[in-house]
Amino acid sequence: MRKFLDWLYTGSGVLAGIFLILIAVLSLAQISGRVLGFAAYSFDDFAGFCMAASSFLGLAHTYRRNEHIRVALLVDRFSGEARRRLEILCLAASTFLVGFFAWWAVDMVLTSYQINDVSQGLVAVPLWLPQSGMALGLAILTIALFDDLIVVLKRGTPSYLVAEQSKKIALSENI
Amino acid sequence: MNTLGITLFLLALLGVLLAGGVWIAVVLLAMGFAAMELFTSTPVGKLMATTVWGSSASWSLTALPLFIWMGEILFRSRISEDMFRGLAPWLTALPGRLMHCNVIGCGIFAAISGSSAATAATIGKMTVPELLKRGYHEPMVIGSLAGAGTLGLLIPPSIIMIVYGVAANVSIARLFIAGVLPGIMLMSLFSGYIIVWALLNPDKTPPSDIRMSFAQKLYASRLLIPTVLLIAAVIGSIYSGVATPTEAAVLGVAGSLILSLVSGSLDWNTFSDSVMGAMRTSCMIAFILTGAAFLTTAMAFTGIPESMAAWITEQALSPVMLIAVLTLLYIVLGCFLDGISMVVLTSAVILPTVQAAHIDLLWFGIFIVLVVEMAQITPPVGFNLYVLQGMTGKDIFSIGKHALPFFLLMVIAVAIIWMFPEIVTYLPRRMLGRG
Repeated sequence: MRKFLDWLYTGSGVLAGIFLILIAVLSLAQISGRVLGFAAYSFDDFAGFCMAASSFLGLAHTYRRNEHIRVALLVDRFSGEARRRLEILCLAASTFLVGFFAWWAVDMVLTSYQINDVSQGLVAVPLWLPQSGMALGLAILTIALFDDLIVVLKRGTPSYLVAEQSKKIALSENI
Repeated sequence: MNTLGITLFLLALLGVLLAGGVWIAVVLLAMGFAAMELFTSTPVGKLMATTVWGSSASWSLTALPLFIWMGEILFRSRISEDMFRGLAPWLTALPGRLMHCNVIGCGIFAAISGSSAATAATIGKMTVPELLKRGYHEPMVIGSLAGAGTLGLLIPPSIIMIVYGVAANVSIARLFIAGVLPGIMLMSLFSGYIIVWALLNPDKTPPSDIRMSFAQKLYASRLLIPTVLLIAAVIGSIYSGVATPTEAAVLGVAGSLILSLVSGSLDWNTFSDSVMGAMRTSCMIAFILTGAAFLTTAMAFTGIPESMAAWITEQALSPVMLIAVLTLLYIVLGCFLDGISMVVLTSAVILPTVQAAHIDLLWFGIFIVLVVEMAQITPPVGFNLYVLQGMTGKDIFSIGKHALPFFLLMVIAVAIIWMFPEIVTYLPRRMLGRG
């Protein structure tokens, strides 16, 4: 289970990275098209879809590397049991909200599929396809949050605090 | 419940969630969720999904990951060594000598990087050890780097301008160009302060150790050529109307990849590190923008921003008072919040007020960037402080103290652009092609 989850987080992160490169490739193709005189239809739309896919698929990976911003000023002053309870509250609230969000993102994908919604550009793309990237990314983030909630409930250290620790060690070794 | 009650409740919720350490993007989602669930009868979930989809799959946003990626590539290249070697021979004659490498170096690097922390980190990687080795006054070295690093936000390209442009619906290309003159002005203020300080404290600047003829200096400057070409490609293409910000960004990415390939610092590891690093930063920002897009919509449903705008208009607060109050508010907020969160909270709540006061949204964008720059160096929360802490091992508060003079110079810069708004609006009005 652990292995599968780690693979899921890293895999979706790598996918997000590939979509980022794709944004660059599409924009480059668009410029070349203008210079060389071929038409790159709807590339704006495609780049926007890649943007959404990259942003959402990378969420869980970014979360586990502790790169989503939070105000840790007050929380860092607590340790032991009080800190554990705070982290549980944080994780529970976040799991609920992101889970709710993911649920409705899936609902949106299903609706787009049922009513055959397509994009506005010259090349009409069925919208459920790019929208699934958003739903999938949010679902994986929900799993990652729930995963950490269980870890903390079992008195372990959540992934983002592990990442913070190892960053501090790396930094002190540099100095 | 009346509007005041709703506002107070939401403010309390914001405070509790932020202080409790909830991720900022989730806090924004939670606020929007609470505002809609408690005070309207609109179905929240559907609106959340469609609003966010509409704002995320946006072509103008694609400039964001590309500019971040460009910065990540350059951070891993030899550019900081090259810039130091190319600049130092020219600056050593000025009072304050190599300390100007921080200001000029950051100013130049800001023109190819969109982030303040990346600018401070890239330039400081070279200047901090070199200057401290030569015996420069440590507080000034740290302070000038902390201050000048923030130029990364003001001088285009700029991540925070993309965020503001997308959130406030202002042309990103025009924002970029509007930042050029204020950026140069701020550099002059910083360098001017260093000169004055050096003249007042002549014993604290070590003697020059660079002896070069004019021809040798010119030869050393060849190291700056690739950087200058990159700047010309990125800013020049936007200003001349040849390229959109996204296209300029991709030219920048291609250029910096070629640059690091030629200089031999590009291999598979640095390439994939740069992609994944850029993806994570862009993902973090996009998640906050997601929360902000939903919060903005939710806020419009509650009617709070409109009644606030109406209230401020009733108070007959003059625009100058409004800006003064907002500056103070942002300075306080900036001690605890990062710049991106400040901008998105603004767009959700304060923009209608600003519009009601007939303040130009382009000018306001540059104003916001300046106050966000201040936020980068006000303790206890500020990204440039973290970067410098990592570099020097000093604690956040003493770094903040060293940066204080530069913070005050930024306050003066706000006053100057208020008195002479043409500094902001002159270049955008002269731009060619599409805005």
